[in-house]
Amino acid sequence: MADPINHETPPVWAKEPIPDDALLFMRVHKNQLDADGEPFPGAFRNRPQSTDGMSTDWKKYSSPEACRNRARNPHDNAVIQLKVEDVRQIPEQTVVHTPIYQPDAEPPNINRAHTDVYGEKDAEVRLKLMRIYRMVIRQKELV
Amino acid sequence: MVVETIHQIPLNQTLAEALRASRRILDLPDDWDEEGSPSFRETTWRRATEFVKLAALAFQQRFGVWIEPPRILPGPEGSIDLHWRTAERELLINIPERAENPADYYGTGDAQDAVKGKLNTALPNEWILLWLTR
Repeated sequence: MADPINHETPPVWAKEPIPDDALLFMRVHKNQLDADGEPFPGAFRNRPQSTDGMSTDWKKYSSPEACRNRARNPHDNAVIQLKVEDVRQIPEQTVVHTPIYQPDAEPPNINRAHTDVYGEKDAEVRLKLMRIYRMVIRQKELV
Repeated sequence: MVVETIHQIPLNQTLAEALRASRRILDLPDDWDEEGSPSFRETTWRRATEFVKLAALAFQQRFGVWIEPPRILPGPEGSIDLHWRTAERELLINIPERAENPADYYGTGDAQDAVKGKLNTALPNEWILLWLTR
């Protein structure tokens, strides 16, 4: 039987199918916010390389506050919300649950909510993402 | 008021000031978003601002008016975004960090009114500003 305290035994976090009506949260750093606190188009990008996904958190396992608190400096970030169905209507974008369990990383990286939005983030995709997000925590509300 | 010239032809003050202010993007250090994004190269910024000058000047010479300056913004992977919004249309042009790569653009009004493709930024491409303002 697996020892839940033993980090050498990864927890069984199956990659789950994400329904269309699910919601995703995403941090936006203050350097990607305009004077009104709204994200620049550049906030919507794959990390760290274009072949990776855009990093988000599935609402099923996260709150907006938990998403914000995963940042190095939470108060430097806003949190926006995306509806999965809207994301999937944008060309070549796929939404995949990609939970992370890296207890030995520095700092440890454990996030069952982690979800990637795969697909190139060209100008069309980024402008379309700009039209579907909803702000849920403004950066200045956090100070 | 003449504040800057390109090929000995003056730019208007609003445009010149926006281009000058955009140089702040070069002050962003590596990891400026705390997600590992790189700082911006001066060559990328120069390519972006020279393209705006070239396009705006060609548009002014052809149609007699100056275009409003775009927002000049940090983009993904060391690229720079040029972002225009009007009451009817929106245009995003991405200037990549790699000088040999063309710019990527997308403009949209409504569902039946969109433009998309690649631009050679050595050319004025004033047609795209005409599309934006039409």
